[in-house]
Parts: sequence; structure tokens; C-alpha cells
Amino acid sequence: MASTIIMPQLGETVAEGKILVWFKSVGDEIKEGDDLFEVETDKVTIEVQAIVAGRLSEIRVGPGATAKVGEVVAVVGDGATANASTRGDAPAAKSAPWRSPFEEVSTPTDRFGPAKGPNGIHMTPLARRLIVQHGLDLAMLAKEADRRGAKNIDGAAVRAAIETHLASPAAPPAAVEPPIRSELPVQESDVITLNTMRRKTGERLAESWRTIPHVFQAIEVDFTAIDLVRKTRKAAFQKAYGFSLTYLPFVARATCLAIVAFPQVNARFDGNALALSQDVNLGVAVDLDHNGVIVPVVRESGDFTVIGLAKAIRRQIDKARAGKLSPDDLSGATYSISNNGAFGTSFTTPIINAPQVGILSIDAIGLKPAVVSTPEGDFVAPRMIGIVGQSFDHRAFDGAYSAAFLSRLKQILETRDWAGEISSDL
Amino acid sequence: MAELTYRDAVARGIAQEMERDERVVFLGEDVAKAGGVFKTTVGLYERFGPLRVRDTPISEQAILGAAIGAAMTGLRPIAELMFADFLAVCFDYVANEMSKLRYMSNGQLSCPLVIRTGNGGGVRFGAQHSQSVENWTMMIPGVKVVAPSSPVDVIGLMAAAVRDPDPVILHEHKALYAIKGEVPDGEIVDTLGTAKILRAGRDCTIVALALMVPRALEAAEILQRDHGVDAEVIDVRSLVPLDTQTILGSVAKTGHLFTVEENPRLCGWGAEIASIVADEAFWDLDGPIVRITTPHIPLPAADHLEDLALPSSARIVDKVRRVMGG
Repeated sequence: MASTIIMPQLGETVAEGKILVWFKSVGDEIKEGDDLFEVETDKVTIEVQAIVAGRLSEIRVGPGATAKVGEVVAVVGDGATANASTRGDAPAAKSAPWRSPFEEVSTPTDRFGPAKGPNGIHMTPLARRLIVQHGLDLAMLAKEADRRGAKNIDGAAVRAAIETHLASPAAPPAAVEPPIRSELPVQESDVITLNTMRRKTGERLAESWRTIPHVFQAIEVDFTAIDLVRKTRKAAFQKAYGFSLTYLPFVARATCLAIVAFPQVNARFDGNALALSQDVNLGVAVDLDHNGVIVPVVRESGDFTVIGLAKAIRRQIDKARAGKLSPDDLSGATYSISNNGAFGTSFTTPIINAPQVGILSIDAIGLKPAVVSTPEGDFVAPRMIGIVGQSFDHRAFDGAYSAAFLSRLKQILETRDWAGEISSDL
Repeated sequence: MAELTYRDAVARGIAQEMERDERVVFLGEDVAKAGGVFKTTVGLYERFGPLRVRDTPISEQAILGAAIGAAMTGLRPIAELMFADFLAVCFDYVANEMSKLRYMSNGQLSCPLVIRTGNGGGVRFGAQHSQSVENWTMMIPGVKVVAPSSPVDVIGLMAAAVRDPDPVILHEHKALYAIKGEVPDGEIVDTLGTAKILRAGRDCTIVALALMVPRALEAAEILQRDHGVDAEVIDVRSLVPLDTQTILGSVAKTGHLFTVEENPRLCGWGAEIASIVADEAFWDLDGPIVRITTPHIPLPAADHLEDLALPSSARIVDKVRRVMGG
């Protein structure tokens, strides 16, 4: 009996994966657990292991090709299946690509715009595709169709336009005016081709930026108290856990606590309704040495203490940098934090990760002269100051709500008994 | 290479398989001593004897019941139903029994059975003996359905059907029995689930089956000659499995699809193909998908009325020309 190898489910929201490399060739013997191929989704790269044994008899989806979840990517024979067609056996029916019984057709995912052009002129699907793929000027095509008295724009009209460059936006205007100044050629030293992850991240960011009315608000926070706790516990923490205690888990913890009173910050917005999340699943943006940013999720962050969060965040960052994140590590965030302090920046206005409605940013925290009020009067003193900001979706809530949330966050960061919370863990 | 009629190709296809495999047996009404009412099985009784070539009572249920039992117990029967309309008489066996055996027994049973049947109109047999019922059979999960349009395909698809481990319904077309075609010598085995491009063309794709294939080819020649439309003609041949890749590939090239179906319009096989193409090849379409079918009426027996009902090459030309503007 031959078995098939399918593209595995790569996470709740992942529909397809691109095979980067096959570790086995056709004819190789395979044992259960052998690495078969490496697959790249829009967020992670995973090695897929065999769950059957046998001889790899066919690779249907080669390196560089993309397969939908559930699609057959290879066939494993049991070693005994040669080509011998025994008496009475049928020659196998010509096999179309295997599809699940629930997906007997493969609907294209591409979209090439509406059926009607300017002046209400109709375009055939083929015409629409060709126009978009060739970057043609629709208005020009519509004008040309009008001139010819055509009722619609079809593939032949578009192909004719492609051939004559009629509709090409790059075509020189008919005007006789000589160009005043030709553009100097720019010498390109290198072209950086985006990998899938960057491309997908880019697409998603562009979509969020285009569709969400972003508002950014920031508040200055005095981290002196937290800094004191960090300093006194630094050695013990390092000894116990093997890494240093940063500001991030404090901010994360304070965020979870502030969300309790401001649940609309921790929600999903679909354009009509704001669905408040029961748990706080914090997405923590991690820079992969300038090779893309990834946002692993710390699930149910609200249940963790500072130390617990420090460990959980650390675990996700380590996994991210090692490329070991599973798709489930990357889905389901309800609120995100972008931590940009490493290079001394004052503040960053991050882009919201839809359908989330807010993202927090923290930047450098450092000594600054600040006014401190005491019963003896106001003094200027060196304090550990940092700016904590939030980009929020103005459709989901208003500036006052966001401001109140930030104010609550500031209050927690500055006044919570951090030493007490940590003592119980360390 | 020899020239053979479609009718003689049936006997040659059956003989080829009976010669090759002694488990192949053949039964039906008047198929043995009389050589079949359409003379499609002449000589088989004399050649293979009464044990392997059997006349049956006039009961489609008896024919299929016996054939299913034989198939379940190790033989590879070919059963003839004289008229495809009579699939309705034994539809329980077709839709509920033979097609579900493998599944419901978890693979413990199989039913390597071929039903060959005289399908289609054009021979003045009236509303109960002329229907094109390929769409009835195509809708049943668990059967394969083929319908050859030429003598060589009759033999090749018959062989593929007999050698398939599951039930296959082979629709022969009554109005094609007299046509002739070149057939190579020696064993001929084809593949189920494959369509054939019979005429390459750039402007539009015409998909046809059985009797509609020669009519589509004739229409394509007229379209080329009189209207400057270069049509590609595909013989679907196999409805289940359906060779969607060949059809989609052709539409990707031409942007236009026409189906020519003898079955009545409602739920005809072309509707399924139109649905698949509208879905998968949407962005290749440069015009509406057009189905040319027999109207949804009982087929008349009167010559001129029957001719009017079935798609003719003139009707195909007219429909294609109107869309293609030739």
C-alpha cells in the first residue's frame, strides 16, 4: 500500500506552506521520525517529520513550491510497489492533483478588481486580470473602448493595448514639450529581495496602516522604583534563571494589570463590533537581528507574575531567535508590546496588528532631570525616565479612554509594590 | 491497422478482455445466441461458449443482481443493459449496492463490474428508449462513468473499465454504432479519467461527449471556414473521474468555454464543468460559459422533432458564433 504525505496543519490560521528544501530524494528509504522537508509559512519555518515508513516514491511539490494544508506533497510506497501491473489490475486513472472531498475545486485567491470600470463599462475577468498584471491605465482603455463603440473591454482589447503600449502608464505623453530635465540614473549597489516572512509582514503592516485610523499617545513614566528593585535583585535573578531581569516584564505585568480596568484595549475589532478578550495574550515583538520582526505570543499573560512573565517572554524570544516557534506561538495575540529601548530612542509609534486594537511601545529608559514633589517642596532630581506610548484604533475607542489606560499604567509602574511581588518568587 | 465500426469495436473490446482473463464473463438480454439487438456482440457466444456468454431473462434487476454477486465473488462480469433508460429499473443496484460495497465493507468486498449500455437518441426510439442519461450515473458516488465516441476508444475504455477494481458504467451511443474508424492491431488499453483534445484551436474551447463529439468537430470546421473562429474540441470521454486539467488548460488558453451535451439541460454534466471552470479558471474567462444542450423535455419519436431537440452542428455553430462575434 502506498501512503501519501500531506502538508500538515501548520497552525490555526495557516492555509498553505512553501517547501524550502527536501531532505529526502525519490527512492530513499524513510523511517518514522525522519526529517522530510522544511516548510516556510508566512511566519515560521518548520521541519516536517515522517509519520510513515517506506520508500519515497514520488515528490509532488518540489522545493520552492507552495502547497495548501492537506494537499499531497509526496507519496511513500511500501517498497514492494513496483510498476508491475498484475493480471486484472487497472492502469491507474490519470490523477488530478489530490484534493480533500470538501475542497474539490481550487478557488483562486487572487483578486483583480471590480467588474465595472470608469463610466460603468464592463470588463471580462480575463481583461481585468491582464489589466492588473500589466499595470495598464484603465481610464485610457475605457476611453479607447468608448471611441470604438465597444460594449465591454475583453481580453482581445487588453492584449491589443499591451502590444501597442497604448494604455501603458509609462508611455510618453503625446505632448511635444521637451522634457525640462531628465532624471539622473541612480546607481544601485544591491537589491534586497524580501523573504516570505518580510513580504508577508509588510503586506500585513500595509493593510493595517491603510485600514486602521491610528492614534498615538504617550506618557512619561518614572521607572526609578522599578530600577531600584532590579538593581537589588539583579544578581539573585541572574543566578536563579541565567538571564538578566529587564524592564520589559515589569511593563508587561503592569499592562496586564491596567487592562483589568480597561478591557477595551484588549480586544478584537472586526469593523463592526469590539470583542473583548477574556485572557490577555500578549504579543511581544522580537527583532531577529534586523532580519525581520516576529511577534510571539505569551498566552494568558494576565496570570503571570513579573518573574513568571520574564521567564515566559524569555522562552518565546529564545524560540524565535532559534527559529523554533510553532504557528500556534504566533497566533491569538490580544494586545502587543513593541520594545525599542536598545538603541536609545525616545519614542516609537508602532503599527497595530489587526484585528487587535492597540499596541504599546517602550523605548529607552535613562536618567533625566525630573521634578519631584515632596512635603518639603518641589525638587529637581535625576530620575530613571522613559516614555511609554500606545497606538490605538480610533474606531474601537477614543483618546480619553486610551489616555486613562496609559495613566493607570503609569500609576501601576510607579507605585506598585514590585519588591513585594518579586520577593515571593525569588 | 483496420477500419472497424463502433458496433464491431464493442465485440472486439469484450473479446480482447475475455481472451486475456478467464474471470471475465458477459451477460445480458439476447446478447449470446442472437449477438445482441444492436448486433454489438456477434460471435462472442460461439467463441467463448455458454458458460461465459449468457442470455438472461428480461429483467434488469436479475442481470445486475447476478453480475454484482459474480463480481463480489471473484469474477469480472460485463453486464449489458439494452437501453440506458432502463438503468432506472435497476437503479437501487446501481446507486445503493454496487457503488457502496467497497466503502460499506471497509474494503473487504469489491465490485469489479462493467455495465455497458445503449445510451442516447437520434434513432427514433421515443421518450423511453432514447434518453441520454450519462448525468444520472455521474451523480452517484462510487461509480466511474465513461462514454466513448470512436471505435478505438470503445475498445480502449472497455479494457480499462474491465481492469478497474470498481464498478464502471460504459455508455455506448446507439447512434454511433454504425460509424467507422481506424483501429490499430493488437491489444488496446486506455486510461479512465482522461479527456482527448481532438482538434487544437486558439479562440474557444468546445467540450463534447459521445454523439456530440462528431457534431462539435463538424461545427468547428464550419466555424473556421465561415466565421474565422478557431475552436478547440475536447472529447471528455470520462465523466468520472473527470479530466479537469485538460479542460482548464484549454480554457486558460482560449478564455471561452462551450459545452455540447445530449443530456437534458437541468443538471447536465456540462453544468458541473461550467461550475468548475467558473471557479478555478475565473480569471481566464473572457466571456460567459455557454451550454448547448437538449432542452428539458421528453424526447420526441418523430424524426424532425427529435432532430430539433438534440444539439446539431448548426446549433453549435450558431451559439458559438453569437458569443465569439464571428
